[in-house]
Amino acid sequence: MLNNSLSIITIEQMSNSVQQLYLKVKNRETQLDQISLLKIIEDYLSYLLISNREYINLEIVASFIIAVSELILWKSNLLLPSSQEHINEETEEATLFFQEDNFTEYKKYQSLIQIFTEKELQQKDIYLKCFHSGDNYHEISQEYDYSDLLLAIESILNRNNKPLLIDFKDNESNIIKKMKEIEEKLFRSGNRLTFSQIVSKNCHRIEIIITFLALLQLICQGKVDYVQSQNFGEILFYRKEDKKLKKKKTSQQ
Amino acid sequence: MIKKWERIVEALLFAADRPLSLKKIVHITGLKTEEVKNIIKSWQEEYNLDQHSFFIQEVSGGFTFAIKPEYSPWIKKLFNNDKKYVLSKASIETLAIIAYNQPITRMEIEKIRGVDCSSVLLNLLKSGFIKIKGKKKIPGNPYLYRVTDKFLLHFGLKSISDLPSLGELEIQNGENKIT
Repeated sequence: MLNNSLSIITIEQMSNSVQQLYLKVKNRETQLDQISLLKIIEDYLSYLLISNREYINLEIVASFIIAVSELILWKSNLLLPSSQEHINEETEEATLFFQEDNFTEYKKYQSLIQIFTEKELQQKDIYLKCFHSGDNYHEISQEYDYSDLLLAIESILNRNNKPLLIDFKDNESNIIKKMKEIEEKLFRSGNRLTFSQIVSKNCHRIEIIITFLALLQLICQGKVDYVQSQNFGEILFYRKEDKKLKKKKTSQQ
Repeated sequence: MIKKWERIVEALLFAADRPLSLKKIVHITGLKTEEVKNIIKSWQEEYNLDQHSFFIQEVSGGFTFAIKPEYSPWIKKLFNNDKKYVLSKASIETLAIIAYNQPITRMEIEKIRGVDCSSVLLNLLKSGFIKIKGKKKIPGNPYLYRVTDKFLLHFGLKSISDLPSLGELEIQNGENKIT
């Protein structure tokens, strides 16, 4: 095993596993600079070479890799300048928590495999009437049949008010045309319209963009103003009256 | 009169193509839950005797007829030995995670397992052990998975609550050592 004079503490001397070495370092019972990670890894590699690869316990190997990677992380942090120490400690604790937490969680399910395998073995020679009366075991509830399915489809179709045939519209529209169109629409509808009312249903995405740009242009020109009562709420556009018209009205009054 | 209801319950269990719940039997017969329980118990005692090749098993939230294990070699021949799935370790692991955390997304399963689970999930979906139960309302809208009744039937479980709680499972840390 490890009998090199360079390594002050070895697994043999610790007379325990790497996990215990890791725990001792974690609890500050052992100085990190006294451990030769190179020797531990060499020992691990020799273990892999000696043992038959078919019978390697993956759980042992996984826990070893986690413990050694933590030790490497701590040891590499020792090489960093002291000003970084505080930050490193925080990140170190965070990664440690993450790795340990995930591994403990995973181990819980590992122990469950045994229970499930036992249950599977128990059930293996028991043939259930319902399970083996064919592969047509469905999740559909006993209370429903195919007629219910057809009725459900029919009700969905009735609920959907959208026409099955959509009118094909000419896509050749521009912002100027759209601005005139919006102004006319606003005039016809009492100078107030919501955005969804301005944008016609089933229209192309490009037309929606053109409508939006036209509205922005109208707002810029001061012809139209808008109000939105809440986030993601409906935008209400209203037509601003012309100053000349306003003056005329006031003079008439 | 009691004998008549015993026969009716037996007929219902025989006719059903899936585990028949107590609720369903009560609904059909109009008997009280306790009465139905007693009838099923008496039938279970009757079928457990050696003169019968099958028995009544409580599984997947209901009762169904099951063939006694000693007759399995002949049943295997009937189904050409391929009727029972033997799940892989990865599949059992994934199923355990889903069963304890359902509904759960693929990413959440992968976070616990630490490996890609897409192919395992696809196989479990194909074989009907899990099903998609909607989408999670988070960015990307990932699918939510949950176990099916087939999972309960396969492992002979009455319900998900039949499984031991995660708190009960003792984590044996530090036992595995590298020598």
